[in-house]
Amino acid sequence: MAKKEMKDVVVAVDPKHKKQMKALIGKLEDKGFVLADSLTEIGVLTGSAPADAIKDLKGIDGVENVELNRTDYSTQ
Amino acid sequence: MARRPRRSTSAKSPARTSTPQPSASQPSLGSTPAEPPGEFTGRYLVLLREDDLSSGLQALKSRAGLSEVCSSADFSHGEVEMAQASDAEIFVLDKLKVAVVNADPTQVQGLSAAVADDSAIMAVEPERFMYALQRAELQAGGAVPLQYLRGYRDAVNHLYDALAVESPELAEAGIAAAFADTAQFTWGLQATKVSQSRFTGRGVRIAVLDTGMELSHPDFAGRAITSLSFIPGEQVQDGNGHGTHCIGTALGAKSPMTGVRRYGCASMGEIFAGKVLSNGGSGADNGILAGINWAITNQCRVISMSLGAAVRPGETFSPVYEAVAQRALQSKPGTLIIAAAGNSSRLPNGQRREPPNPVGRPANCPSIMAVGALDSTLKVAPFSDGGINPNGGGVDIAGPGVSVFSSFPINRGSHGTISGTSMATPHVAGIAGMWLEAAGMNTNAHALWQMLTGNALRLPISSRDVGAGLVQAPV
Repeated sequence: MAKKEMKDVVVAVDPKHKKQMKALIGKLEDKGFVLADSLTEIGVLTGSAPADAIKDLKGIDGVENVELNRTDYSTQ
Repeated sequence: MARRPRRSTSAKSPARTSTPQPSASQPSLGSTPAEPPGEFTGRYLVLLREDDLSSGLQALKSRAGLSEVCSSADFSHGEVEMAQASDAEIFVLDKLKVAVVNADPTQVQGLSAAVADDSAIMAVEPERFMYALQRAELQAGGAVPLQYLRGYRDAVNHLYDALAVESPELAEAGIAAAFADTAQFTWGLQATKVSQSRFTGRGVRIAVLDTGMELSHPDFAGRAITSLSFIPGEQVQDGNGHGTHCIGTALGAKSPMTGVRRYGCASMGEIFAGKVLSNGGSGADNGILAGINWAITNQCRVISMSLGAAVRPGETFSPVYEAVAQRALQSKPGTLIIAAAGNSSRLPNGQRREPPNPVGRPANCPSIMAVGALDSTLKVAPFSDGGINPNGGGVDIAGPGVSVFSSFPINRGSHGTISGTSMATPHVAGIAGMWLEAAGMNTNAHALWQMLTGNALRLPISSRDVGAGLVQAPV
């Protein structure tokens, strides 16, 4: 079976779910999310997820937003 | 833009030396909308076509049968003698393309007909009396609707902006004459009044998220520096130069050890150097967000980000960055995130694109302060991006961003002069630190935003390009 294409993502977490972060990460992982970093102070998780699962991540209770990790930033 | 905190100023208005008796009511005029109740001077304001003042004046004279004209251009430095102006049949505010007309109802009918005829006369309305407002009335919010007050404030600010260009004070401040680097100060520190300020941002933690820092720079000897790299495989040590330059502008010393001119704003601020862009000058969301998280965890009150990615016209801001910036602003006491508007608006011929390209990401978030760049004559830099996109994608404030002298890595000569909205951004960040010191460390981030925009030097340039104007330090 072909390996699923993984995309780097950033996930904004609803502040109300900040205390249940561990449980939320578990729900994300159930959808294929792989955690890289938990930025607790700003309520953001970074990691990767199967390209076709990103819309499922957005549907999880406690997830505010999911965006693809943009890599085109530069000095101005 | 509408959701952002905006400046509120008490602008000067010309003193009135002649006060005709009020007429209690005034009929609405032909094509002009019905007027709310008010008191009128008996004169009329006539808006003339901006690109053809002489045709407008000709139309005004012929339609109303008036001949005696007095112009604000007749007075030096815009210092209009109101008694003389009030006596004229037509008093022209040439910068505003507005005429104040002493006309009877029949003459006014002629002018109103001219508006309908699509002539060089754009609009006619009765001139109102304006009164100083009692503070109690304002607080009660009863007698005067807030909407009306805002409109009045904007109109007065607009008038002041247009007329003040001719004032010697503003001319000396750089509208007409250029600033220049001196042996003591960069032009940017002079234009922003950092050079005159007694504040140093003492104790304010300011994070600069960039390409890192030259950690052995002699100008920063003895300063406490907290640093961390978020770029895999790269140390904080700046292999690019951009980060060291930006840190120099935001936090450089009052008297640089190398003996060069002063180039830094918050000279006693605490330096937090987060490397979120590689030595090659590029970076990604995950590193930038990790840098923001690190800065906030370390109680940095200001985060300066001289970085960005281009967005298309019509493209909206990132909801993730907006959520992060809102939380930063709303936390106690709060962190203000400041970012470069972007440099993509210069055409190959060196001119500025019109309209400019939109403010980039993440500066286009409503809760991130977007900074445009000015040159030493206080004109918009040709590369500086503008407020094209809706939903917060505007420029909020401007800073010195052309030919900016600051620190560089030692192996590149220790100092250098470069340009960009990147250079304007740390001016604003350092000055934010100075305002925090001046107002007290308990000042929240929303109030800090207001201080920066509310005290900016208004410029005769569209807010699309410079927002509230040139950032100014507390003095």
